[in-house]
Amino acid sequence: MLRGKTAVITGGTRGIGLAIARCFAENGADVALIATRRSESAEANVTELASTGRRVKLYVCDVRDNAAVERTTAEIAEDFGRIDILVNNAGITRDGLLPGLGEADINDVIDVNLKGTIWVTKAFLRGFVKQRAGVIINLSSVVGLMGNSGQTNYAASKAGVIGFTKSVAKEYGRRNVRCNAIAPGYIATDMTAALSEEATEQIAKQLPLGRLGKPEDVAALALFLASDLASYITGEVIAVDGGMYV
Amino acid sequence: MKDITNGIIHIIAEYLGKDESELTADDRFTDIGLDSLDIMELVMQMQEEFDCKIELSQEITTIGKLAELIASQQ
Repeated sequence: MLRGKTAVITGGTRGIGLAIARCFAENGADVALIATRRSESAEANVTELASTGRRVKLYVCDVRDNAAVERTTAEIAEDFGRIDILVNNAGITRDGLLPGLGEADINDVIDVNLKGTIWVTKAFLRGFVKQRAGVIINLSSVVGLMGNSGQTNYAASKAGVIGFTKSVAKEYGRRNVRCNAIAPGYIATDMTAALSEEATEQIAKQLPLGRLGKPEDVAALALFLASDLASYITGEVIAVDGGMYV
Repeated sequence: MKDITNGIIHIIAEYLGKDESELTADDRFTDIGLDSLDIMELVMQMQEEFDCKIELSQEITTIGKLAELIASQQ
């Protein structure tokens, strides 16, 4: 489905980002991954992804740093040439009730999840506009749609991603650049592993589909949105949440 | 300055598929069929061409005014 395409995925060395990278590579795309550090597990995942026969390369960049994002974008363009797909997946949580959140808890979450998405999009948009084609997929969250106690900072950042997604879709639709958001619900990743088994069971019970999602559930939607099958879809927010936000 | 104006006219003519002789420094962008997105795209190209940082404002509405801006920022 993505043969001959090149995708850039932020936060692509674990969790949902890694599942998207694997899915894209298996479907024929070359993949540039952006991560905050070069860990042993990140390197191992790159090696595993490269076993698909696709070109895979890891770039270290803090998406909070606009200058670093610009440099990394230039490096990726130099290495891969044309970029077709951007997945803004890098995200963090710093949960807690609002009075207990420190300045850093709020700034870090907004800076990575929302501003990071804006910086990276801004950097790659230029190429997309020039080539009159591009697909941007932003990872939001159901929490950005429905809010969540203990996640005011995270919910605000993810709701911001939705507004950003719709605005980019409107601004660049005429240049054949599509921009959509995915809103995952509870997906079993390192991010949700912090929950106790009991809490996880409780959550699963309340979901219409009765289970937590898998990163692959999200990757399947990302693949569809990145492919030409979705060529008339832009500005959308699609939940992958087992019916959580219905 | 004249070089810059000619350079801008060259880029815009190419972009619009027009002959350079059809464009003058007094032409308003909107009158020659350029919208805000077109101008943004052209400015990105001109930044590379003229090796300068162009900070566009609402007052830059003609080829001549853009040439003045580029000359001042080069």
